[in-house]
Amino acid sequence: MRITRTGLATLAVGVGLAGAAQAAQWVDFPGAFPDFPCQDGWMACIVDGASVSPELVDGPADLRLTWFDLQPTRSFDPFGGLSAYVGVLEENDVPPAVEQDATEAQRAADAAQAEDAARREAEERDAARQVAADEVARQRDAQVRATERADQLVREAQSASAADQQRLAAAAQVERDAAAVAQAAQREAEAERRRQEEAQAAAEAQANAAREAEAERVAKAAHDAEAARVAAANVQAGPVDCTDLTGLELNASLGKLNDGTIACLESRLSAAPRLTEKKKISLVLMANAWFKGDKKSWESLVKRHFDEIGQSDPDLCYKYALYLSTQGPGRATGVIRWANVALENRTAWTGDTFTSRVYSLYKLRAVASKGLWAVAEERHAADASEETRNRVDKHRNMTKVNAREWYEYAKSAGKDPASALSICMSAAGTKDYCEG
Amino acid sequence: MTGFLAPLMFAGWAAAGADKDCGVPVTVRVVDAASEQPIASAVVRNRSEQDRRRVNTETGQWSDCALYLPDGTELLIEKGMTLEFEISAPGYTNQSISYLVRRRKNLISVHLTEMVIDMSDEDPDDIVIQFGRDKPID
Repeated sequence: MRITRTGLATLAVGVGLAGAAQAAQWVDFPGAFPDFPCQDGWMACIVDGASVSPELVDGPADLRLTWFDLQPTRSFDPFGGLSAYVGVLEENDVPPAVEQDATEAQRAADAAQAEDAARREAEERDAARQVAADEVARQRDAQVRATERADQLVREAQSASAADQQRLAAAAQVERDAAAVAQAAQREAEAERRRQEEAQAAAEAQANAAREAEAERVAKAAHDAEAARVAAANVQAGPVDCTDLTGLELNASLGKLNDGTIACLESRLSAAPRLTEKKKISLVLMANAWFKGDKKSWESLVKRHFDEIGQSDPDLCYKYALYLSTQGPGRATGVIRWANVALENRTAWTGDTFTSRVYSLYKLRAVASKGLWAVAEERHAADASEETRNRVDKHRNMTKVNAREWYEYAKSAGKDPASALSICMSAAGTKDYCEG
Repeated sequence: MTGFLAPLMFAGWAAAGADKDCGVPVTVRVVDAASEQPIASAVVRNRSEQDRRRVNTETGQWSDCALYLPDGTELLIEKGMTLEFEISAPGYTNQSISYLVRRRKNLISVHLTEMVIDMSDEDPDDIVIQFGRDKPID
């Protein structure tokens, strides 16, 4: 409402001005078209390289500020001098009268310039004279103060008696002796401090050496004890028999297969002619490593299983993908790969297992893609290049596709699709793609 | 000469808010809702366009005075237009906003919240790998 009122008021003023402009002649606006618009009374001049004349160019010639944004015009500075005339006039081309006018104008301009320069020089001379007078006054004051102080010192020296002079000399000698003693004591203290530091450093080095030796001894003893225990266990167990895989499953499920059994299983795995046999042994070894908590070994065993035995077990692929997803964004590529492999073999599942695991695999893929995309974006923001931009596009598209698949599956399986839609929209930038 | 004074005044008045070569500038600033820090990887997409515009990585701001439509036309942003933006960033929940363009000071601050995906329902320990024996038929 306020804007409307302001607009109407502006409109009324504009209409009023327009009516007035229509009614009047241009000679009625001497302020807008002055005969001599230049600052120094000239009819035309050059200011900052632009000509100023009675003609209306972008406002009245003598306007100091622009109408709309109050910016300074070329006539803003009333103290600006005329620019020097840079044109070259050919003598033959100039009519005598014009030439005379120009000469007179030039002469007047020169006179004005000379007068201005003389005035500026006089001002500068006055200022310099004032500064010099101030400096002289300061120096004179300083000289007077120094003279007074010297006189005072001479008077004090003359008034001192011979006894006082002797007393002062003795006091000075005592002071010198005390300073020498203090200096010697300080040197001695410094030397003592250095000796103590050296002794302390030597003691610390000795203690460190002793500690290291003790730690080595303890570690060696522990290692020997472990070796002895394993040897004793092997001796007690007798020859290791690992042919009964079913019998080993219980211990493997508790992570309690001993080193001898593991070594036996490894040798059997290497020697087994059939993949089914290899698979059974590998599953026992993987179960033992997992339940023992040795995730590094488990990961190596799973990789070997996938490389040498097969990738058709969706449970194992799913478990491996899930495990990798807990290892940070650096393993995201592996998560996507093994989630895809698991999804290829999802027909092995049925019922709720199928629904929950497929949903979980789609989710794993989308979240891992999102992680890759975020990392790519961070790198691109830190150091943008064609390569980083391509990587961003690639991972964003992957996120978009994976999130949309997750969203579609979540909707059809009756699961909550909110997170899937959120990732999809984040990657696609629009809801249309995800819901289309 | 004086006949054009009034139109000149009106033209100047009308042009005060918008550059004649460009429309009204609109700025979108994208920040993290929790830390108030600019999100360097955020993108702003106008629904009329197909392209995603990246924000400045230092300031988190995107600014322009025109829209570039898919058919190649350039649509200058003008006062009174309603712009619909979709702001997104990896790891953050999307946000859609609708904005009525004013004559000046068109600064839109968008706070994106971090996306939290609950992964607690999946635990590798819950997945039992069957040993290599044949599974009994139910």
